Amino acid sequence: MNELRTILLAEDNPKDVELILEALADHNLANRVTVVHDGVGAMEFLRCEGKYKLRRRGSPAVVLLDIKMPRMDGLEVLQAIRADPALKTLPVVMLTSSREEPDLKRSYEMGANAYVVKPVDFQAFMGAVRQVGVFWAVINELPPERT
Amino acid sequence: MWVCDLETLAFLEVNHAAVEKYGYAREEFLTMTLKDIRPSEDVSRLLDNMAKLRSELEHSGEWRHTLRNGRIIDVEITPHTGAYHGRKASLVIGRDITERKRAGEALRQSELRYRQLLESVTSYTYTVEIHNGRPSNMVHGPGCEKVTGYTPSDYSADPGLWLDIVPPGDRHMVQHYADPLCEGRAVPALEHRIIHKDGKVIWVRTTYVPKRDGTGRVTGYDGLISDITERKQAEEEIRRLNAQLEDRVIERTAQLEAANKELEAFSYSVSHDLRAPLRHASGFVDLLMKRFKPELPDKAQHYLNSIADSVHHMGMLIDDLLQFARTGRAEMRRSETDMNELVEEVSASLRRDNPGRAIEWIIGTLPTVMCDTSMLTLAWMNLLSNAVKFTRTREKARIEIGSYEEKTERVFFVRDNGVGFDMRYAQKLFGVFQRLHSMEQFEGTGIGLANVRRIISRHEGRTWAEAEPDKGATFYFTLPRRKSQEP
Repeated sequence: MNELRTILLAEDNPKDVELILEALADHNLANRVTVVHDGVGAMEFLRCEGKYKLRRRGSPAVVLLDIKMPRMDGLEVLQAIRADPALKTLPVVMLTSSREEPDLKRSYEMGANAYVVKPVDFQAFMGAVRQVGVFWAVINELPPERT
Repeated sequence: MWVCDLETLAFLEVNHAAVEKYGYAREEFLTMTLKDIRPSEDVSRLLDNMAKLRSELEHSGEWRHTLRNGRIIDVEITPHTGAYHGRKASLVIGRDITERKRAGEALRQSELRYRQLLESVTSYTYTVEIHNGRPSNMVHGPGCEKVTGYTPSDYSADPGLWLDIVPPGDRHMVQHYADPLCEGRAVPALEHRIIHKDGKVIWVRTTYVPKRDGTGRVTGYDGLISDITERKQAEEEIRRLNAQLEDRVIERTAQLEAANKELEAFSYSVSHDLRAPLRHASGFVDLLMKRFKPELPDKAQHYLNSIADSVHHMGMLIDDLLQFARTGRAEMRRSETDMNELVEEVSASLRRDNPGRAIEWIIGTLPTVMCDTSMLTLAWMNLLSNAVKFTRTREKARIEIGSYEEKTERVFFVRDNGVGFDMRYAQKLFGVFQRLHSMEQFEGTGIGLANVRRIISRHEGRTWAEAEPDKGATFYFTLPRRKSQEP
């Protein structure tokens, strides 16, 4: 049943979106990705609000969150997810360009399931994204659905 | 007493007392004149007088006379003019006042000294008697005028004056301060302000000394009051300067913190924003190669490889620079660190990364030191990976790691048999982005040794290198020896 679930990607940079989708396409996961461009969009999707009012209910298999985004950044989205009883068990992977320790530390403190530094080296990047996507979308057993 | 001729000044008669006093026999006297008993320097004054006062040659007053033995005495003269054997003469009664004058002079001197002393003192004493367990009969010593502007009689005329001149803020502290002395208990010296008669506020320090009778009962006490205004002003100045210094330190610290924050924000931004475009360039080059490689001519593939190389190099530069910034500002976390473990760990990882290389590792016994472990790991990584890199052209590379003790520091070294360098450029070696080899020969960002120097200098150590072209290089660094590190 897991393989039908979607991946939510919150990423504001279209080039990163394209590259991530390319990486996931190699594993036939690209067509199941929903892309939002900031934290506000991510929360609307997760809570079925705004333009996602009419979407099929149910949580994605995994949320990939870029840390630096306009309006509401990745750490704020993570905080909102962990504070929401309906969403708090959702697997969240932080995607970031930053190797800066404070980001990593804060991410784990706030309950991120994984933290992936987007490498400059595309091969490594593909590898990282693929692993995350495959692991969370296909292999990992989700906690029982609450809705 | 003698009689002398007013015309010739000759002695006409002398009495026994004069003979005794002056030491001349009567017969001698009668051959002498008044001039003969005057000190030579006074004779002209005598002759002047004689010209002016012919009628009354020696008026009453004090004169100096010379005795036969040459001693000079002071004489008080009382003359009576009259006739003696038909000659106009003067009957003179002389009185030796030398002792009186000397005593007077001594008294005058003593009084002068006393006045000068009082003028220059900055302390005076007062005495207090204790009657029925209460202080009474306060008497201020004469120095009080100099210190407080009020005379002893001012104080005795107004028994409340001693407290009135204390500013209201200090009065409660002073008023009953000495009371324990009445019960025989000692009190420490007290510092407080008083208002001088001229209106200036001065600081005084009072030291209390109890007085006891034969049975040990306290009958009163003395207070020694000293003007300490200058000392207090100096103390105040020191306090002011210290406060100023503290303010300046706080200000500088704040500036430094702000600068650090800015630098952090800057490297955060570099880390995010500078890497993203590189990632994109690299990503799309990669996709291009993957999807369209068969259709691309060799030249196009070569261009793409060059782009990929540059992007990769730029990525390394950014990462190294960020790390360099971090080693400069990261907080030091010192702990006891076994250098053998660090070197073992680093060399093992280099062996893994360079499986094709024949490297002879000679690792001496290294000490355990107090340092930031992760920073020192990075320093060893930079030094050892350099040694591996620059011995690449050797069939058999040799890398030796060791340490020795100096008086105040421990010296560590990494010696290799690699390509070395020209010592003329040695001072450039540890600068950021400084490279002594072309990219063609040896790749690198030129930040590794700058990082080593920064790490070691943050540990208060030194870094240097010795080498000869084609004969290998030795890199040294030191860490200070501290007492706490001694066995």
